[in-house]
Amino acid sequence: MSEIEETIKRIQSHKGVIGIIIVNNEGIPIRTTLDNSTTVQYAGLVHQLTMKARSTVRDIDPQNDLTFLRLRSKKHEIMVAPDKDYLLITIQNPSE
Amino acid sequence: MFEDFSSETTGFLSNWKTHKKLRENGSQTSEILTYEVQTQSRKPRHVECQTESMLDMMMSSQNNENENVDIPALIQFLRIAEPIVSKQIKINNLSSGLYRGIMKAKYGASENHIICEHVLNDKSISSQDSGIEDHGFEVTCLSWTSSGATLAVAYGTNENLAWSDQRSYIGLWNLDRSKINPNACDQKLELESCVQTISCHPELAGYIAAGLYSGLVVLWDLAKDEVIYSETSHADPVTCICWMQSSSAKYLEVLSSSTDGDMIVWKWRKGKETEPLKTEKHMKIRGANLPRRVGMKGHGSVGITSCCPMKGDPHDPTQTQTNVVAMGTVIVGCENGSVLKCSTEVNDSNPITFVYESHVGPVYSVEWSPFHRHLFLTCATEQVCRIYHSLQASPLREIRPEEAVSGRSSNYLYSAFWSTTRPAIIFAAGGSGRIEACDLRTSRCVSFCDVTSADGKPCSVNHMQSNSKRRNLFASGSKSVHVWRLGEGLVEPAGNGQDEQAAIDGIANEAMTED
Repeated sequence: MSEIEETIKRIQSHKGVIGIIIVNNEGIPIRTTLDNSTTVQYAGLVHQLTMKARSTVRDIDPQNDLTFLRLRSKKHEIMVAPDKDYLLITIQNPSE
Repeated sequence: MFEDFSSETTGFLSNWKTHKKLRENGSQTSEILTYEVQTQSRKPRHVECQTESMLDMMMSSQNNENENVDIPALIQFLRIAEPIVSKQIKINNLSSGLYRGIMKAKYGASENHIICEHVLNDKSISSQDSGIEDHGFEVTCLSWTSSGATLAVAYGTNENLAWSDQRSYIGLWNLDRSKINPNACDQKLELESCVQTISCHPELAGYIAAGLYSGLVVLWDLAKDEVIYSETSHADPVTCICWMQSSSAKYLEVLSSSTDGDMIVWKWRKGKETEPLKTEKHMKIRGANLPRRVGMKGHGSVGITSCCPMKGDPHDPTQTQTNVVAMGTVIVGCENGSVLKCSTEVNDSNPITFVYESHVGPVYSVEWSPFHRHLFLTCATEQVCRIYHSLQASPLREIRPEEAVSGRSSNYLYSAFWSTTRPAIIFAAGGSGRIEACDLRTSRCVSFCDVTSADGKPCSVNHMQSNSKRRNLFASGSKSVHVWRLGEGLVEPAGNGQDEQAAIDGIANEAMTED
């Protein structure tokens, strides 16, 4: 239990990290460092996008799989580390 | 000599008419065959399903802690995922300098134009004769609704000299409709007196409050299409109307001010169309209550030309303590140029709590800054806009739109507002028909656009309002309504707006460090 919290704190302590969210395979956020409404919004949208990205990769080559997804925008960068059961979403503002 | 004569009738057979032959016949459909069959379920099974919003599921999973979570698997996953993510974060931090240049060049703040998106003019209203020679109906006031998609426009005339029974209209335009008809508004309400000011409720859709020339305040409930009048009226035309934060959810509170110096807070119970707006508080600005340095002689009342209540931001954590004080604070601009801070919470009829340095002419526009809770903007006919700090009497900044500097005629400023996205930008417009965007840091004009009537002549802008939901739009009203779209550079602050926020904070701090 505490290892989870430690890991989250470690990621959060990097420069520019705005928040992290851990989402399960149904798209429900199970751990988060942001407020509830933002978490729910990010979780739903990023989960869908990750599923789409993963299916794109696997459709092109069924033996391939998605390992990491980065979405860079004007204001910040969203990084998604997908797994069979979980998603780790990190939002960072690199220009700070 | 004359005898009766009777003749025999003669006839002849027709050679084309024939005798018609008739025969009767009948038919009958065959009988419809039906079969009866019955079935009966013997073992029922009960199944239910229910969708849950993600928020509820998140809350329940938080409350049940680890019911749905397989801890060892999660730990395993994090052990694998964390190094990847941390490495990427570090790379991003190192290379952040690289991207900044590209980003700035690509999305550079070079688009500072203000483009006219719509020109709305209801032909049926503008073609009507308003009864005063040479002046048709013009836009006296406008307001965006809470969703930011509909614009409510008050048509009346500012040229009333004496008491008049002039009809006027409130028109609504929905900009989201695919076929927006610039020549006719979507909904129209006719009122028996000239509408001077309107305001849409900032949160609830469907309530529009309007102040009339006759001194009455009306509330238009769009859903039920009912107009509710106030039970009493001001003695003079209503100049400004604002929605207040109501203490209870069942009531709506409106603040109205007029040139007779009265500020009245009206209360209305939602859903009771038969009840008029009831007076909740009645306050008067008297000349006797103003200090002598303002220069107001006599004991009469001072007319109010604009007011703006302070909006407490419920999401701002720094304001939780001062919110109690902030509720009910209103900045009032008067027709003699005084700028006053009033409170609707005081018990006696004198609401003034603080007096600021006056303008020379009537103050037509007052607005609190959306980015700093102590700064507000005023504009007066003397062609300056001033920024005041709410705790200090003398203004921190005076901005003269470039118009005045170059010496054009008829430069009275009628309307000014803060940009909703950039802390250091203000917009001002007035009699010359030019809307200017000024940067507070440099006190210079960043961009401008001209409002022209159909025949190309500049026409004076009576009122402008920014759209808080669609931040790149604002509307201006003169003879017709113009909806303007701001270019990227005016909407997006360079570098997250932190420099501008810091500049605003710096300006505000000047107030504290002086004398």
